[in-house]
Amino acid sequence: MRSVASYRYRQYLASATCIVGVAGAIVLRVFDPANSGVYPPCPLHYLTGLYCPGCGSLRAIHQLLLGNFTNAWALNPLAMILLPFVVYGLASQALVELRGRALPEPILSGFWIRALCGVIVLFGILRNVPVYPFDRLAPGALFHL
Amino acid sequence: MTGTVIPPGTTVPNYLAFSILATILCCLPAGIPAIIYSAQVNSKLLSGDLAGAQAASNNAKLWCWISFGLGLGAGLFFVMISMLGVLHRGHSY
Repeated sequence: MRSVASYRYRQYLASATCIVGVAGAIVLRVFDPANSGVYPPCPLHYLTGLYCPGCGSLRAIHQLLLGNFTNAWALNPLAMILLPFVVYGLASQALVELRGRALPEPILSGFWIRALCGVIVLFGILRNVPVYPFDRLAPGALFHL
Repeated sequence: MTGTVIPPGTTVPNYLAFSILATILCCLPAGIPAIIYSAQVNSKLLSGDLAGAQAASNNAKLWCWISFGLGLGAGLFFVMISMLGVLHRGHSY
């Protein structure tokens, strides 16, 4: 059993996290990751020149916040597909902390979650293959033919 | 579907959203175990293994934090070396 104080603490923590999230979105809307030094680059790309599955996702979310859906898609299609689900999951988690009740969520079997993990890793590998059509998966490569 | 009957309303958080976020935005190598443990939470919950699900849930949470810590560490490390680099190069931004 959790104490009332513990619940209060978790509520404050969840509220603070939400505020940080909104502030982050505002910063991301104002400063473009493509040409400002505000954000650290992907360590993997910085050290090796390879693209990870998430490379381009900050730039993509920036474009999304500006309403440029095609640019967002070109920068990281996988992140754009997963983003609505991740946002829903995070909102559900926030509601658990704030009200003790989650949004309706399907219980995925372990197989599908492992498959999702495989898709993320595969996407990370394929976008580094310098052969058409896989080279189009690199950040921003899709519409800059 | 065997094993003990789990009382209705019992939920074990699987931290899947956090795992995916940690994998994509923070640290891929530490994010993958987080997703795998998330998968185990649901598998074990569906087969009635409540204790196992709880253990997997704790592991998923742990690996999310490891991934987040490594991502944050790498970010801070980059900020540090880039500041040192800027100091070295003067105004050649």
